[in-house]
Amino acid sequence: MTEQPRPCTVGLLLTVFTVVLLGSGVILAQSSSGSGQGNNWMAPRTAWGDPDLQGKWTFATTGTPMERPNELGDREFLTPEEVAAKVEAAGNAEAVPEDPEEARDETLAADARPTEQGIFGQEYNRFWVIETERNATAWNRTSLVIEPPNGKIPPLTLAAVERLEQRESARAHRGEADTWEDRNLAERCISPGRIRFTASGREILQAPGFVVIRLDALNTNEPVIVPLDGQPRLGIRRWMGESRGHWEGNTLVIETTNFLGRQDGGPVMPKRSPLIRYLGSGEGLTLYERFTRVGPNTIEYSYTVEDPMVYVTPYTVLRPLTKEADDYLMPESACHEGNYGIVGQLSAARVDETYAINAAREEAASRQSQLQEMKQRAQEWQRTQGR
Amino acid sequence: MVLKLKICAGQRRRGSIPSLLILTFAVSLLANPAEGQQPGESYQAPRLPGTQNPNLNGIWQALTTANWDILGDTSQPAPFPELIGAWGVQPSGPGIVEGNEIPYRPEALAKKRANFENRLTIDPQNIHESGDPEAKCFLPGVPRAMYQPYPFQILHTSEKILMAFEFASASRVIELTNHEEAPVTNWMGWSNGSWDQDTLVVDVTAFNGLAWLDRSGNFAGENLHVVERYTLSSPYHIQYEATIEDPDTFTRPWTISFPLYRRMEENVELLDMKCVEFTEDYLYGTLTKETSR
Repeated sequence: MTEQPRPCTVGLLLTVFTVVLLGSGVILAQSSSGSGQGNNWMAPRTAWGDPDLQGKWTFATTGTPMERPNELGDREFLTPEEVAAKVEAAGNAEAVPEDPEEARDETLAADARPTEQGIFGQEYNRFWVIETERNATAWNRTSLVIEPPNGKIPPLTLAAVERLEQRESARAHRGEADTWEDRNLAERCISPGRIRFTASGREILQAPGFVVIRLDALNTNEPVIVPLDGQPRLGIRRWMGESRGHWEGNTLVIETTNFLGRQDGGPVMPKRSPLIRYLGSGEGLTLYERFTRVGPNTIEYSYTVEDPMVYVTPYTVLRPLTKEADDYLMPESACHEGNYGIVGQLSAARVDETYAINAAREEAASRQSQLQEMKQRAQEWQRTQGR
Repeated sequence: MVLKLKICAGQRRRGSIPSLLILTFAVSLLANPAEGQQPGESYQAPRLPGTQNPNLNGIWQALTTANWDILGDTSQPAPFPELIGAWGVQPSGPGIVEGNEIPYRPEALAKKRANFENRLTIDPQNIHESGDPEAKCFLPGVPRAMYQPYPFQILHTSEKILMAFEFASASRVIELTNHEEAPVTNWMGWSNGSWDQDTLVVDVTAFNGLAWLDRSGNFAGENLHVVERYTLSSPYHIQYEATIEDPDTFTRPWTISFPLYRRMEENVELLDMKCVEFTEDYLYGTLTKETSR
């Protein structure tokens, strides 16, 4: 027996994975990264001739971490044997968050102070987290970050770190909820620009001359409207930035600039870790997004963050999107309309302060009788001895 | 005008198009020769590619005073004239309600009056108890979103229509083919659309009963049922009409109508009107730390 050529080996392995995954109730979607090429599948078109990306899409579960583990160095792909081992392990283990931000959140929950254990990231917000089985895409990439070559999100610039240090100093004498500005943008139901590429789901709609990405995130259903007709930029800053799109073959390319500078939270917003959900200054960010439909149920989605004020080099993330069934619900989020959380945080902080003041008063009252007694003795002594 | 439109609609169903066009033109000339072509009579709207239906894509805006008061009213001072003078005055307008009367039940009329009295009252511990939701940057609901004084964009696809509103980044999706019951109540309702010839008819239900109809405290309850009709009456106008029904609040259905105007500026684009951060002091100001105020 001679060794099979590599593509056949991969195909055989994928067939085996399919059986394994189907057996465990997980659907193996089409493998990504150019897998649409070479088969007979034709990308559908809209009535006016644009590639049709319409539908509801969520991030596929690839089992690939956002950043590459150190031991893999510059190695971009796993061997088929390593992929097989990964798929098998995925069938036995609980899901590992792909997003390092999510992973940090979980670490923080475990490390939380006793008073906050069981609250951080869990409480009522858990209601909104989709627990259903996600479509799994076996992926041989070693990281979702594909640029720079080490597969890691580049370091922040010194200027960005200094800005974070200034923010820490600015809030040195502030409490956790002196005002709403001491809480983060998500808690205030203000959606920062990063939501546009980290939202759990998105519905893509197309009209002649426009693509619309309707986001399904905890605090927004905001539609990002992308003109395709080459109209000039207005230069008016927006939370979601100013987007312009065009087609490069079957690929939708969106370039977004003019993000609002307030999207990193302002001068005093607290963060447990400065990196968490820190997108950048906003002002200098250019976001490049690419959507290529490579199969009926798969879009190859990548985004490049170029923000010289914040990151020392640009970085690019490649994440496949999986098509959801038409009945995938995107309920109205109405976050601000039901923001009992911020009212509770501010009220609780005021109650804490009142408690502290009352406790100090009680203690002061208990000293009053002693003071009175000392005063009486002093006066008595003065009367009897002073003359 | 309304009568003429009804005649045309009736003719259209029975007669041939050429005779309808001739008749429409003749009626139009007889009624008011100076007005020329009447919207909706002989206008043939361009079709959305791949469909037989009028193409509603564009950026639109109402030009009424209905967001202040859906009924006709004379001009009123701004809420705080000692602070802002003539800024924010309520302009006078004829209203958008047919017959200029809302058939409230007696208890609902009392609530409308209380709403008006407390339109700018805030209790942060009971954020839905009093005050106009618009001042709190809450989602405007339907039909109010259609006549707020801000632009909105219609993104018309073959199976759905997305309406994206500048105010509060609100949006609504109208399902044209996949009609389903609402899974849950919400601010903007649940919209199923269909075509009555060239008119888009949208059935809107599943409201949470918290939205107001204007700054004057007009309101409807959670059993509100709105049936909207959108007719492209020229390249630049959509004639909008809605029937409002809520047996808990009103003694009979009633109707509003007004034109939506296409925004024609070359650089027109939907921008941010994300008002949450502009309302935090208004909503939570009484809950901040004394020394930080």
